[in-house]
Amino acid sequence: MRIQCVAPQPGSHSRRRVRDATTPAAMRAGSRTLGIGTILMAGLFSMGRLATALDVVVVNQNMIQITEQQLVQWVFQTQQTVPAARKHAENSLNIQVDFVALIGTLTDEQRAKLELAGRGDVHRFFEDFNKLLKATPLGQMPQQQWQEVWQKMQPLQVRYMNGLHGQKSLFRKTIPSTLSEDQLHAFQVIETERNRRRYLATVKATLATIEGKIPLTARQREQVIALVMEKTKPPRAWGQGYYRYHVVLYQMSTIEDDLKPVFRDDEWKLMTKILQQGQMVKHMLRQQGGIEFE
Amino acid sequence: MNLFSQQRRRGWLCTVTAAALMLGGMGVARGDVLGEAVDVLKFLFRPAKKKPGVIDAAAANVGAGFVNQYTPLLTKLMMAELHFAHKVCELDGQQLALLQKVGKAKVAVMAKTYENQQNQHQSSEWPDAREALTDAFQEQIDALLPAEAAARYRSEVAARRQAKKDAAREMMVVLIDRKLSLTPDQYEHAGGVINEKWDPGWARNMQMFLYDQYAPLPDANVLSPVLTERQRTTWESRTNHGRISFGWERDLGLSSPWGEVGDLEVDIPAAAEEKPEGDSEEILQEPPEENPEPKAQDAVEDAEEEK
Repeated sequence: MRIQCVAPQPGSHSRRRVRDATTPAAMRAGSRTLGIGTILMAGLFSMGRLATALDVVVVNQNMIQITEQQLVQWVFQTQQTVPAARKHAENSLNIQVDFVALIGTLTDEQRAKLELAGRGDVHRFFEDFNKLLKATPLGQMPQQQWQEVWQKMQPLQVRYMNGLHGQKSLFRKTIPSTLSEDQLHAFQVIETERNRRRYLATVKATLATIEGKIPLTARQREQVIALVMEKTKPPRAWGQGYYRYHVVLYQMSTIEDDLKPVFRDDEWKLMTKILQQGQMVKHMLRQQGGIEFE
Repeated sequence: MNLFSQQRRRGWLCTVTAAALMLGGMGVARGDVLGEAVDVLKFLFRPAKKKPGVIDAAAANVGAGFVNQYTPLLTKLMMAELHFAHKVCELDGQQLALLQKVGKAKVAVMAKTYENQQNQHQSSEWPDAREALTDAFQEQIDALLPAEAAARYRSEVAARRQAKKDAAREMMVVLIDRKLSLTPDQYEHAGGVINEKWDPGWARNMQMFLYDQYAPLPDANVLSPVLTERQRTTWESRTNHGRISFGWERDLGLSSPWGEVGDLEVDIPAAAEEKPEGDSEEILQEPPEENPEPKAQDAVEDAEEEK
């Protein structure tokens, strides 16, 4: 009774077919509860089960073989070792400080203060990770026990994948108290524009996905993009990747009356069903996805 | 008549080339001007049109009635594209019926192609059925409708493909920015660099961009003109998990990532469906016309003859 794990290798280019948990069959059942459950499964899937589903090969029922190396790879995803993951986090911090420095007038003292706060975030994360690692049993274990282990590990994976210097980090909280009023305003302008660009790209990608079902004319496309950008706001935080398009669907669902005239009647019937998906995951977007709306 | 037309085309070629050279000499021959000149040349020397309703040899070989497990979904795709063609060109009942027939034949070809791919365990990306359908519709629309309507359909299909490519490229830049906090200049520059190295597979399925570690992203060498040393080091330290595949249904947008939402349909009047321009047997057997004159070309010649 064993599970064999195949770790992804650096630089590997293997193609993998993934079945998304939002299966048409599940949705066809028409149950709202089932729909939410399915989407929740998809979210969990993207937040970590993806790796396990892809990399774990069950060779024996009920028991699972867990090594430290596997836990490291599941938590850090794109990094293979703890030192590499830490180095990556420190590099990311430096890049974030460089981004703040775009305001053009960051003093050495201000930079040092921001770096110190950012290093605190990195330190706190790896302390949490090491604590959990020490408390985690390794070797063969029943699947039920592995589920419990994973439930504790998975939030760490989400934290790391979202970046250690996001909205709730010490680094971010230190920015307002470190920058002068003018500097802070300049930084907020740069960041608002960055978020707007990110939102625009995600709106376009969501629409391109919708067009698989409802091909739009150039005019319809332009109108939808303009309405969404004009009448909705980008989220303050984006959270996990899987929900990016759901965020846009949710925002679109808040301006249905504006969007409806852009579509033909038969197109709008499909659109309302698509937009319902955004409404259905609204609360989950906040809780599971770490997404924050204005 | 043919020789005469060819001479005319050469005349157009000389005129357009001369105009482009003149504009270039004046310092205004920017890319868009030359691009328009190229478009005109492409229009003048495009392949001869098919007679309405004529189906290509591949469709004839497969047979319009061919059905397999791929047919139902491909038929839904065809109906969505027929809906789009109707929206853009305002087709009448007979035109709709004709396009539907051509679409069904193309569905049969694609279903057979997919079956072959499956049987031969070909792991390469399957041909894009949506593109095959819009190309087949374009040929019919060229033959059936006025040049202006045909150009409108061509332009709309091209705009949709471009929008998808743009969306994919911008999502790639977003993912890079998430990791490397690009400056506004770098943001623009990164999009340009990706454009230069564009791989059509990158825009195949937008869902790829929901998974940071599997999304198609350029390597550090491609991005190096854009990045600082620190950003480059961070980018190089990422592990490439390879590409992710969601299957052909998702690639074509047939299976929605948001579950079953229904499908677009087109109401084709029963009378038109029963008797389009030639029944299906005639359509399949009719050989393509040797060298029919393009409709738009005819219009130019007629106008000049009138003069």
